Amino acid sequence: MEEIKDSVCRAPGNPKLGWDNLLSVFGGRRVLYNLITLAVVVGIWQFMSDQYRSDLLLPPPWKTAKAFVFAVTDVDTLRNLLLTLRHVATGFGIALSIGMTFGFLMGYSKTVMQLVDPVMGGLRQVPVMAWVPLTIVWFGLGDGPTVFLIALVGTFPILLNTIAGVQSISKDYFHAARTMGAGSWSIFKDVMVPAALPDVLTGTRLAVSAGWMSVI
Amino acid sequence: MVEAQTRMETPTLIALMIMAALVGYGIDQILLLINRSLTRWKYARE
Repeated sequence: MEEIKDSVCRAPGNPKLGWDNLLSVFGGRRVLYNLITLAVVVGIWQFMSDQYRSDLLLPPPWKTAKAFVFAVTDVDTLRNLLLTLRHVATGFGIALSIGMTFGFLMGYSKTVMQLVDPVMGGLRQVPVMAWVPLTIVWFGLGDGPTVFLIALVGTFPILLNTIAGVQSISKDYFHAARTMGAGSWSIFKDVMVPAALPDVLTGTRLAVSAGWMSVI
Repeated sequence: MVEAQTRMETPTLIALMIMAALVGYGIDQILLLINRSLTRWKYARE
């Protein structure tokens, strides 16, 4: 009997019946599982805030939700958000151009790598906060320091991923392209860029989130 | 966000943190979408 019921539920003529169809109405398993995780996190949060009973240490979720609604409807907050987004976009553009240019050069040419790597490798290790006073002196108080820091933070993930992407291209591709008479530009355009693109894009994802995190 | 911190308004602070997280997540999803459209060959089997 159970089997028959099941088969009726899954029959093509009855698309509205069945657990899977019900799920797909609400966006499928993915959304359901996301909601479960969210509910668990909020539940733990509620429990912990009940334990502490202090708005300063850990406010309950509903109070935060109220503040969230207030912040979203606040014009000042939204204006700042847009300003920040513009900074991130500008800084990311700079990071992308610097990171990809040097990335392709350093990945392709050993000479460039040996020339530039000591500087890049060193700069990468300098704490971001150490740049802040210097950038204020250089660019003044305003958008300059922010954009510079986003560009700085974003350059290195893109650079390293582009280098890794270019270096991981099999030498056979270069040889094959050259054998068929491809010039340098064609090799760059048709071999290096497409092959390194997935790694470059991973770098851009890291760079944008790093920039977004550092600016807030 | 710094303003909320100095005024000791923890709810506002956490709300702004959540907002930053949501916006960041949104940007990441957009990038992922661009990523997939540019490297379609990689996801052909999925």
